Amino acid sequence: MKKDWILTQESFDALLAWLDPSREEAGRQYEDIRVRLIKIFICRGCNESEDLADETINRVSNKLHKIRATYEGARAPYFYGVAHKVYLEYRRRPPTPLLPPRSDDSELMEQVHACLEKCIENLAPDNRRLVRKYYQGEKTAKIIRRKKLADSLGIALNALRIRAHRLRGTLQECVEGCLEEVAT
Amino acid sequence: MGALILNPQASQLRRYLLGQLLADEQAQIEQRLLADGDFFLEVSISEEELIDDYLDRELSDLEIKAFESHFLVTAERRKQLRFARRLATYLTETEDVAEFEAVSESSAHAARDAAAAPKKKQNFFSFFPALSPALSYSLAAVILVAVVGVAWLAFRDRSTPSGRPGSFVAVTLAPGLTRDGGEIKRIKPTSNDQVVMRLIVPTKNYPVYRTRLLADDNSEVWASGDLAAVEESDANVVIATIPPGLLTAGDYRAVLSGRAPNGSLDDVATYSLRVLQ
Repeated sequence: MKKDWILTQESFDALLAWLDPSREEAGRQYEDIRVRLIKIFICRGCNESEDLADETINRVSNKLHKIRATYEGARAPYFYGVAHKVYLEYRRRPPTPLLPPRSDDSELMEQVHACLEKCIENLAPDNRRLVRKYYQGEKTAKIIRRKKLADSLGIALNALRIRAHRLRGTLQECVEGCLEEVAT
Repeated sequence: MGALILNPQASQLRRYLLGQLLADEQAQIEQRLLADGDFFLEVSISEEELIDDYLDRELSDLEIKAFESHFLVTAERRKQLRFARRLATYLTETEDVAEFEAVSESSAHAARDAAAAPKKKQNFFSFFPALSPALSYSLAAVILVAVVGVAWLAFRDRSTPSGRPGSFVAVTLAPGLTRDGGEIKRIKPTSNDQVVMRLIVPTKNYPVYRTRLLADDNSEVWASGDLAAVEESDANVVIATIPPGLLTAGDYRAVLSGRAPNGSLDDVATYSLRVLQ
Protein backbone atom coordinates (compact mmCIF):
# COMPACT_ATOMS: atom_id res chain seq x y z
CA MET A 1 0.00 0.00 0.00
CA LYS A 2 1.31 3.41 -0.91
CA LYS A 3 1.70 5.25 2.37
CA ASP A 4 2.71 8.84 1.80
CA TRP A 5 1.42 10.21 5.07
CA ILE A 6 1.85 8.97 8.63
CA LEU A 7 -0.61 9.63 11.45
CA THR A 8 1.10 11.81 14.05
CA GLN A 9 -0.14 12.30 17.61
CA GLU A 10 -1.25 15.80 16.67
CA SER A 11 -3.29 14.66 13.68
CA PHE A 12 -4.70 11.76 15.68
CA ASP A 13 -5.88 14.21 18.35
CA ALA A 14 -7.41 16.37 15.64
CA LEU A 15 -9.21 13.35 14.21
CA LEU A 16 -10.64 12.46 17.63
CA ALA A 17 -11.78 16.04 18.17
CA TRP A 18 -13.53 15.94 14.79
CA LEU A 19 -15.27 12.68 15.63
CA ASP A 20 -16.71 13.88 18.94
CA PRO A 21 -16.06 16.63 21.48
CA SER A 22 -15.78 13.99 24.23
CA ARG A 23 -12.42 12.29 23.87
CA GLU A 24 -13.75 9.08 25.36
CA GLU A 25 -16.68 8.94 22.95
CA ALA A 26 -14.38 9.88 20.08
CA GLY A 27 -12.03 7.02 20.99
CA ARG A 28 -14.94 4.59 20.96
CA GLN A 29 -16.08 5.88 17.55
CA TYR A 30 -12.56 5.61 16.19
CA GLU A 31 -12.36 1.96 17.25
CA ASP A 32 -15.80 1.20 15.81
CA ILE A 33 -14.98 2.82 12.48
CA ARG A 34 -11.67 0.98 12.24
CA VAL A 35 -13.18 -2.44 12.99
CA ARG A 36 -16.00 -1.86 10.53
CA LEU A 37 -13.64 -0.68 7.78
CA ILE A 38 -11.64 -3.86 8.28
CA LYS A 39 -14.84 -5.87 7.86
CA ILE A 40 -15.74 -4.00 4.67
CA PHE A 41 -12.31 -4.68 3.17
CA ILE A 42 -12.57 -8.35 4.12
CA CYS A 43 -16.02 -8.51 2.53
CA ARG A 44 -14.50 -7.04 -0.63
CA GLY A 45 -11.91 -9.81 -0.64
CA CYS A 46 -8.86 -7.78 0.49
CA ASN A 47 -6.13 -9.65 2.27
CA GLU A 48 -4.51 -6.64 3.90
CA SER A 49 -7.71 -5.40 5.45
CA GLU A 50 -6.12 -3.91 8.59
CA ASP A 51 -3.53 -1.98 6.58
CA LEU A 52 -6.21 -0.70 4.25
CA ALA A 53 -8.39 0.43 7.16
CA ASP A 54 -5.44 2.28 8.72
CA GLU A 55 -4.58 3.86 5.40
CA THR A 56 -8.18 5.07 5.08
CA ILE A 57 -8.06 6.63 8.54
CA ASN A 58 -4.71 8.26 7.81
CA ARG A 59 -6.03 9.82 4.64
CA VAL A 60 -9.12 11.16 6.39
CA SER A 61 -6.86 12.69 9.05
CA ASN A 62 -4.69 14.21 6.33
CA LYS A 63 -7.69 15.91 4.77
CA LEU A 64 -9.15 17.19 8.00
CA HIS A 65 -7.70 20.65 7.73
CA LYS A 66 -9.56 21.09 4.42
CA ILE A 67 -12.95 19.69 5.41
CA ARG A 68 -13.27 20.40 9.14
CA ALA A 69 -14.73 23.88 8.71
CA THR A 70 -17.36 22.94 6.15
CA TYR A 71 -18.19 19.26 6.65
CA GLU A 72 -21.53 18.62 8.33
CA GLY A 73 -23.35 15.46 9.32
CA ALA A 74 -22.28 11.96 10.32
CA ARG A 75 -18.58 11.21 10.01
CA ALA A 76 -18.79 7.56 8.99
CA PRO A 77 -19.96 8.20 5.39
CA TYR A 78 -16.88 10.32 4.76
CA PHE A 79 -14.66 7.42 5.76
CA TYR A 80 -16.63 5.22 3.39
CA GLY A 81 -15.87 7.44 0.40
CA VAL A 82 -12.15 7.44 1.20
CA ALA A 83 -12.18 3.67 1.82
CA HIS A 84 -13.60 3.10 -1.65
CA LYS A 85 -10.71 5.03 -3.23
CA VAL A 86 -8.20 3.08 -1.15
CA TYR A 87 -9.87 -0.11 -2.35
CA LEU A 88 -9.64 0.89 -6.02
CA GLU A 89 -5.91 1.56 -5.59
CA TYR A 90 -5.50 -1.82 -3.88
CA ARG A 91 -7.19 -3.52 -6.83
CA ARG A 92 -4.64 -2.08 -9.21
CA ARG A 93 -1.73 -3.64 -7.32
CA PRO A 94 -0.52 -7.16 -8.09
CA PRO A 95 -1.91 -9.55 -5.47
CA THR A 96 0.34 -10.48 -2.56
CA PRO A 97 0.95 -14.22 -2.46
CA LEU A 98 -0.40 -15.83 0.70
CA LEU A 99 1.48 -18.34 2.77
CA PRO A 100 -0.21 -21.72 2.43
CA PRO A 101 -1.93 -22.64 5.69
CA ARG A 102 -0.47 -25.51 7.66
CA SER A 103 -2.49 -28.58 6.82
CA ASP A 104 -4.40 -30.27 9.62
CA ASP A 105 -2.04 -33.21 10.05
CA SER A 106 -2.61 -35.64 12.88
CA GLU A 107 -0.17 -33.86 15.22
CA LEU A 108 -1.91 -30.53 14.69
CA MET A 109 -5.31 -32.16 15.11
CA GLU A 110 -4.17 -33.47 18.49
CA GLN A 111 -3.09 -29.97 19.51
CA VAL A 112 -6.33 -28.44 18.27
CA HIS A 113 -8.32 -31.03 20.15
CA ALA A 114 -6.39 -30.39 23.36
CA CYS A 115 -6.72 -26.61 22.99
CA LEU A 116 -10.44 -26.83 22.26
CA GLU A 117 -10.90 -29.04 25.27
CA LYS A 118 -9.01 -26.62 27.47
CA CYS A 119 -10.82 -23.54 26.12
CA ILE A 120 -14.25 -25.14 26.41
CA GLU A 121 -13.41 -26.18 29.97
CA ASN A 122 -12.51 -22.54 30.71
CA LEU A 123 -16.05 -21.46 29.88
CA ALA A 124 -18.63 -21.17 32.64
CA PRO A 125 -20.71 -24.40 32.82
CA ASP A 126 -23.81 -22.69 31.39
CA ASN A 127 -21.85 -21.33 28.44
CA ARG A 128 -20.22 -24.71 27.88
CA ARG A 129 -23.62 -26.35 27.62
CA LEU A 130 -24.82 -23.56 25.35
CA VAL A 131 -21.93 -24.05 22.91
CA ARG A 132 -22.52 -27.79 22.76
CA LYS A 133 -26.23 -27.53 22.30
CA TYR A 134 -26.09 -24.65 19.84
CA TYR A 135 -23.51 -26.06 17.48
CA GLN A 136 -24.22 -29.77 17.62
CA GLY A 137 -26.44 -31.62 15.18
CA GLU A 138 -27.26 -31.04 11.58
CA LYS A 139 -29.90 -29.31 9.53
CA THR A 140 -33.38 -29.78 10.97
CA ALA A 141 -32.05 -31.15 14.24
CA LYS A 142 -30.02 -27.99 14.72
CA ILE A 143 -33.00 -25.71 14.11
CA ILE A 144 -35.20 -27.62 16.54
CA ARG A 145 -32.45 -27.84 19.14
CA ARG A 146 -31.80 -24.10 18.98
CA LYS A 147 -35.47 -23.24 19.33
CA LYS A 148 -35.73 -25.48 22.38
CA LEU A 149 -32.55 -24.01 23.80
CA ALA A 150 -33.83 -20.45 23.40
CA ASP A 151 -37.12 -21.46 25.05
CA SER A 152 -35.31 -23.13 27.94
CA LEU A 153 -33.21 -20.02 28.50
CA GLY A 154 -36.27 -17.78 28.21
CA ILE A 155 -34.70 -15.67 25.47
CA ALA A 156 -35.51 -14.92 21.86
CA LEU A 157 -33.77 -16.92 19.16
CA ASN A 158 -31.97 -13.81 17.95
CA ALA A 159 -30.60 -13.17 21.45
CA LEU A 160 -29.38 -16.77 21.47
CA ARG A 161 -27.62 -16.23 18.13
CA ILE A 162 -25.80 -13.25 19.59
CA ARG A 163 -24.74 -15.16 22.72
CA ALA A 164 -23.51 -18.08 20.66
CA HIS A 165 -21.61 -15.73 18.34
CA ARG A 166 -19.83 -14.06 21.27
CA LEU A 167 -18.93 -17.41 22.82
CA ARG A 168 -17.63 -18.66 19.49
CA GLY A 169 -15.45 -15.54 19.21
CA THR A 170 -14.10 -16.11 22.72
CA LEU A 171 -13.38 -19.75 21.92
CA GLN A 172 -11.66 -18.96 18.63
CA GLU A 173 -9.44 -16.39 20.31
CA CYS A 174 -8.63 -18.81 23.13
CA VAL A 175 -7.80 -21.67 20.76
CA GLU A 176 -5.59 -19.48 18.56
CA GLY A 177 -3.73 -18.26 21.64
CA CYS A 178 -3.37 -21.81 22.92
CA LEU A 179 -2.01 -23.07 19.57
CA GLU A 180 0.50 -20.22 19.47
CA GLU A 181 1.66 -21.15 22.97
CA VAL A 182 2.07 -24.77 21.92
CA ALA A 183 4.04 -23.74 18.83
CA THR A 184 6.55 -21.60 20.77
CA MET B 1 -27.79 -21.89 9.68
CA GLY B 2 -29.82 -20.32 6.90
CA ALA B 3 -33.25 -21.07 8.25
CA LEU B 4 -32.37 -19.38 11.51
CA ILE B 5 -31.60 -15.98 10.08
CA LEU B 6 -34.31 -13.77 11.46
CA ASN B 7 -33.45 -10.46 9.89
CA PRO B 8 -35.74 -9.76 6.93
CA GLN B 9 -32.72 -8.57 4.97
CA ALA B 10 -31.00 -11.89 5.56
CA SER B 11 -31.18 -12.98 1.96
CA GLN B 12 -29.67 -9.73 0.74
CA LEU B 13 -26.96 -9.93 3.39
CA ARG B 14 -26.09 -13.43 2.34
CA ARG B 15 -25.85 -12.33 -1.28
CA TYR B 16 -23.61 -9.49 -0.15
CA LEU B 17 -21.28 -11.91 1.62
CA LEU B 18 -21.20 -14.09 -1.48
CA GLY B 19 -20.40 -11.08 -3.70
CA GLN B 20 -23.66 -11.39 -5.60
CA LEU B 21 -25.04 -7.86 -5.20
CA LEU B 22 -25.02 -5.00 -7.67
CA ALA B 23 -22.64 -2.13 -6.90
CA ASP B 24 -25.31 0.24 -5.53
CA GLU B 25 -26.84 -2.50 -3.33
CA GLN B 26 -23.38 -3.31 -2.03
CA ALA B 27 -22.72 0.35 -1.24
CA GLN B 28 -25.98 0.58 0.72
CA ILE B 29 -25.06 -2.42 2.81
CA GLU B 30 -21.52 -1.19 3.46
CA GLN B 31 -22.59 2.29 4.47
CA ARG B 32 -25.02 0.80 6.94
CA LEU B 33 -22.33 -1.57 8.15
CA LEU B 34 -20.07 1.37 8.87
CA ALA B 35 -22.71 3.41 10.70
CA ASP B 36 -24.83 0.84 12.54
CA GLY B 37 -23.33 -1.31 15.30
CA ASP B 38 -26.26 -3.75 15.40
CA PHE B 39 -25.99 -4.30 11.67
CA PHE B 40 -22.25 -4.91 12.00
CA LEU B 41 -23.06 -7.64 14.54
CA GLU B 42 -25.66 -9.10 12.19
CA VAL B 43 -23.11 -9.25 9.38
CA SER B 44 -20.60 -11.01 11.64
CA ILE B 45 -23.17 -13.59 12.75
CA SER B 46 -24.30 -14.11 9.16
CA GLU B 47 -20.70 -14.81 8.14
CA GLU B 48 -20.50 -17.60 10.72
CA GLU B 49 -23.86 -19.02 9.70
CA LEU B 50 -22.81 -19.03 6.06
CA ILE B 51 -19.65 -20.93 7.01
CA ASP B 52 -21.67 -23.43 9.02
CA ASP B 53 -24.09 -23.91 6.14
CA TYR B 54 -21.15 -24.55 3.83
CA LEU B 55 -19.77 -27.17 6.20
CA ASP B 56 -23.23 -28.71 6.62
CA ARG B 57 -23.58 -28.85 2.81
CA GLU B 58 -26.63 -26.66 2.86
CA LEU B 59 -25.60 -24.23 0.14
CA SER B 60 -26.77 -24.51 -3.45
CA ASP B 61 -24.21 -25.21 -6.18
CA LEU B 62 -24.21 -21.55 -7.16
CA GLU B 63 -23.68 -20.48 -3.55
CA ILE B 64 -20.84 -22.98 -3.10
CA LYS B 65 -19.12 -21.55 -6.15
CA ALA B 66 -19.50 -17.99 -4.84
CA PHE B 67 -18.46 -19.04 -1.35
CA GLU B 68 -15.24 -20.61 -2.59
CA SER B 69 -14.36 -17.98 -5.18
CA HIS B 70 -15.40 -14.84 -3.29
CA PHE B 71 -16.14 -15.39 0.38
CA LEU B 72 -13.07 -17.52 1.06
CA VAL B 73 -10.60 -15.30 -0.78
CA THR B 74 -9.18 -13.68 2.37
CA ALA B 75 -6.92 -15.35 4.90
CA GLU B 76 -9.23 -14.12 7.68
CA ARG B 77 -12.22 -15.98 6.28
CA ARG B 78 -10.21 -19.13 5.70
CA LYS B 79 -9.14 -18.93 9.33
CA GLN B 80 -12.80 -18.68 10.34
CA LEU B 81 -13.66 -21.69 8.19
CA ARG B 82 -10.81 -23.70 9.70
CA PHE B 83 -11.96 -22.90 13.21
CA ALA B 84 -15.59 -23.74 12.40
CA ARG B 85 -14.54 -27.09 10.95
CA ARG B 86 -12.38 -27.89 13.96
CA LEU B 87 -15.09 -26.90 16.41
CA ALA B 88 -17.68 -29.01 14.58
CA THR B 89 -15.31 -32.00 14.51
CA TYR B 90 -14.49 -31.61 18.18
CA LEU B 91 -18.14 -31.35 19.20
CA THR B 92 -19.06 -34.38 17.11
CA GLU B 93 -16.19 -36.43 18.48
CA THR B 94 -17.01 -35.58 22.06
CA GLU B 95 -20.79 -35.65 21.69
CA ASP B 96 -21.27 -39.03 23.31
CA VAL B 97 -18.88 -38.18 26.12
CA ALA B 98 -20.69 -34.91 26.73
CA GLU B 99 -24.06 -36.60 26.81
CA PHE B 100 -22.75 -39.15 29.23
CA GLU B 101 -21.24 -36.40 31.37
CA ALA B 102 -24.53 -34.51 31.29
CA VAL B 103 -26.34 -37.60 32.53
CA SER B 104 -23.70 -38.15 35.20
CA GLU B 105 -23.91 -34.50 36.17
CA SER B 106 -27.68 -34.59 36.54
CA SER B 107 -27.41 -37.82 38.55
CA ALA B 108 -24.81 -36.16 40.73
CA HIS B 109 -27.10 -33.15 41.13
CA ALA B 110 -29.93 -35.45 42.12
CA ALA B 111 -27.68 -37.21 44.61
CA ARG B 112 -26.48 -33.88 46.02
CA ASP B 113 -30.07 -32.62 46.20
CA ALA B 114 -31.09 -35.75 48.01
CA ALA B 115 -28.17 -35.37 50.41
CA ALA B 116 -28.94 -31.71 50.97
CA ALA B 117 -32.65 -32.29 51.60
CA PRO B 118 -33.62 -31.97 55.28
CA LYS B 119 -33.76 -35.40 56.81
CA LYS B 120 -36.52 -36.26 59.18
CA LYS B 121 -35.38 -38.25 62.14
CA GLN B 122 -37.43 -41.33 61.76
CA ASN B 123 -37.63 -44.53 63.66
CA PHE B 124 -37.45 -47.50 61.29
CA PHE B 125 -40.59 -48.95 62.79
CA SER B 126 -42.55 -45.79 62.24
CA PHE B 127 -42.99 -47.08 58.65
CA PHE B 128 -45.78 -49.12 60.12
CA PRO B 129 -47.56 -46.60 62.32
CA ALA B 130 -50.88 -48.37 62.22
CA LEU B 131 -49.49 -51.68 63.43
CA SER B 132 -48.80 -52.79 66.94
CA PRO B 133 -45.09 -52.94 67.92
CA ALA B 134 -45.07 -56.75 67.88
CA LEU B 135 -46.58 -56.92 64.40
CA SER B 136 -44.21 -54.21 63.21
CA TYR B 137 -41.16 -56.19 64.38
CA SER B 138 -42.44 -59.36 62.66
CA LEU B 139 -43.13 -57.56 59.38
CA ALA B 140 -39.72 -55.87 59.50
CA ALA B 141 -38.04 -59.24 59.97
CA VAL B 142 -39.83 -60.67 56.90
CA ILE B 143 -38.79 -57.66 54.79
CA LEU B 144 -35.20 -57.94 56.00
CA VAL B 145 -35.01 -61.59 54.96
CA ALA B 146 -36.50 -60.74 51.57
CA VAL B 147 -34.02 -57.88 50.97
CA VAL B 148 -31.03 -60.03 51.90
CA GLY B 149 -32.29 -62.82 49.64
CA VAL B 150 -32.77 -60.55 46.64
CA ALA B 151 -29.36 -58.95 47.20
CA TRP B 152 -27.70 -62.37 47.31
CA LEU B 153 -29.41 -63.48 44.09
CA ALA B 154 -28.37 -60.28 42.36
CA PHE B 155 -24.77 -60.74 43.51
CA ARG B 156 -24.68 -64.39 42.41
CA ASP B 157 -26.04 -63.58 38.94
CA ARG B 158 -23.57 -60.84 38.24
CA SER B 159 -21.31 -62.24 35.52
CA THR B 160 -19.01 -59.25 35.01
CA PRO B 161 -17.43 -56.89 37.49
CA SER B 162 -19.39 -53.94 36.16
CA GLY B 163 -18.82 -51.59 39.08
CA ARG B 164 -21.61 -49.07 39.03
CA PRO B 165 -24.38 -50.84 37.11
CA GLY B 166 -25.91 -48.70 34.39
CA SER B 167 -22.84 -46.48 34.07
CA PHE B 168 -21.74 -46.45 30.44
CA VAL B 169 -20.22 -44.47 27.64
CA ALA B 170 -21.85 -44.87 24.25
CA VAL B 171 -20.09 -44.22 20.98
CA THR B 172 -21.33 -44.60 17.41
CA LEU B 173 -18.67 -45.70 14.95
CA ALA B 174 -18.79 -45.56 11.18
CA PRO B 175 -16.69 -48.07 9.26
CA GLY B 176 -13.36 -47.18 7.75
CA LEU B 177 -12.48 -44.09 9.78
CA THR B 178 -8.81 -44.07 10.39
CA ARG B 179 -6.45 -41.88 12.33
CA ASP B 180 -5.26 -40.40 9.05
CA GLY B 181 -8.75 -39.17 8.28
CA GLY B 182 -8.66 -36.98 11.35
CA GLU B 183 -12.13 -38.07 12.36
CA ILE B 184 -11.34 -40.77 14.85
CA LYS B 185 -13.94 -40.94 17.62
CA ARG B 186 -12.69 -40.35 21.14
CA ILE B 187 -14.17 -41.45 24.41
CA LYS B 188 -13.22 -40.96 28.03
CA PRO B 189 -14.57 -43.87 30.03
CA THR B 190 -13.71 -44.32 33.70
CA SER B 191 -12.54 -47.71 34.89
CA ASN B 192 -16.12 -48.42 36.06
CA ASP B 193 -17.81 -47.61 32.78
CA GLN B 194 -19.06 -50.08 30.26
CA VAL B 195 -18.39 -48.90 26.72
CA VAL B 196 -21.29 -49.39 24.36
CA MET B 197 -20.12 -49.38 20.74
CA ARG B 198 -22.78 -48.85 18.11
CA LEU B 199 -21.13 -50.14 14.95
CA ILE B 200 -22.78 -49.02 11.73
CA VAL B 201 -22.96 -52.03 9.43
CA PRO B 202 -22.13 -51.23 5.80
CA THR B 203 -24.42 -53.91 4.39
CA LYS B 204 -26.67 -56.28 6.25
CA ASN B 205 -25.80 -59.63 4.72
CA TYR B 206 -25.23 -61.72 7.78
CA PRO B 207 -27.73 -62.96 10.34
CA VAL B 208 -25.05 -62.94 13.05
CA TYR B 209 -21.97 -60.84 13.69
CA ARG B 210 -19.00 -60.93 16.02
CA THR B 211 -16.78 -58.10 17.13
CA ARG B 212 -13.14 -58.15 18.17
CA LEU B 213 -11.46 -55.19 19.75
CA LEU B 214 -7.75 -54.89 18.97
CA ALA B 215 -5.20 -52.65 20.65
CA ASP B 216 -2.67 -50.59 18.71
CA ASP B 217 -0.20 -53.51 18.73
CA ASN B 218 -2.92 -55.79 17.27
CA SER B 219 -3.36 -57.75 20.49
CA GLU B 220 -6.95 -58.76 21.14
CA VAL B 221 -8.46 -56.85 24.04
CA TRP B 222 -11.94 -58.25 23.91
CA ALA B 223 -14.24 -60.31 21.70
CA SER B 224 -18.00 -60.50 21.64
CA GLY B 225 -20.28 -63.47 21.32
CA ASP B 226 -22.83 -63.67 18.49
CA LEU B 227 -24.62 -60.38 17.91
CA ALA B 228 -27.51 -59.57 15.60
CA ALA B 229 -27.69 -56.31 13.67
CA VAL B 230 -30.43 -53.95 14.78
CA GLU B 231 -32.35 -52.03 12.15
CA GLU B 232 -32.46 -48.32 12.98
CA SER B 233 -34.06 -45.49 11.04
CA ASP B 234 -31.04 -44.69 8.88
CA ALA B 235 -28.70 -47.64 9.32
CA ASN B 236 -28.21 -51.13 10.62
CA VAL B 237 -26.08 -51.24 13.73
CA VAL B 238 -24.44 -53.90 15.82
CA ILE B 239 -24.34 -53.02 19.48
CA ALA B 240 -21.35 -54.39 21.36
CA THR B 241 -20.86 -53.73 25.06
CA ILE B 242 -17.32 -53.84 26.40
CA PRO B 243 -17.09 -54.64 30.11
CA PRO B 244 -15.56 -52.02 32.41
CA GLY B 245 -11.85 -51.83 33.08
CA LEU B 246 -10.60 -53.27 29.78
CA LEU B 247 -9.80 -50.04 27.98
CA THR B 248 -6.81 -47.91 28.86
CA ALA B 249 -5.71 -44.78 26.98
CA GLY B 250 -4.72 -45.52 23.41
CA ASP B 251 -5.99 -46.34 19.95
CA TYR B 252 -8.15 -49.34 19.22
CA ARG B 253 -9.63 -51.05 16.18
CA ALA B 254 -12.94 -52.85 16.28
CA VAL B 255 -13.21 -55.56 13.66
CA LEU B 256 -16.73 -56.60 12.74
CA SER B 257 -17.11 -60.08 11.22
CA GLY B 258 -20.21 -61.73 9.83
CA ARG B 259 -20.88 -65.43 10.20
CA ALA B 260 -21.33 -67.04 6.79
CA PRO B 261 -23.80 -69.93 6.29
CA ASN B 262 -20.89 -72.41 6.38
CA GLY B 263 -19.95 -71.12 9.83
CA SER B 264 -16.82 -69.22 8.81
CA LEU B 265 -16.32 -65.60 9.85
CA ASP B 266 -15.89 -62.94 7.14
CA ASP B 267 -14.42 -59.57 8.08
CA VAL B 268 -17.05 -56.95 7.24
CA ALA B 269 -15.68 -53.66 8.50
CA THR B 270 -13.10 -52.03 10.72
CA TYR B 271 -13.69 -49.08 13.04
CA SER B 272 -11.25 -46.81 14.84
CA LEU B 273 -11.62 -45.60 18.38
CA ARG B 274 -9.39 -43.56 20.67
CA VAL B 275 -9.63 -43.84 24.42
CA LEU B 276 -8.50 -40.77 26.32
CA GLN B 277 -7.19 -40.68 29.85
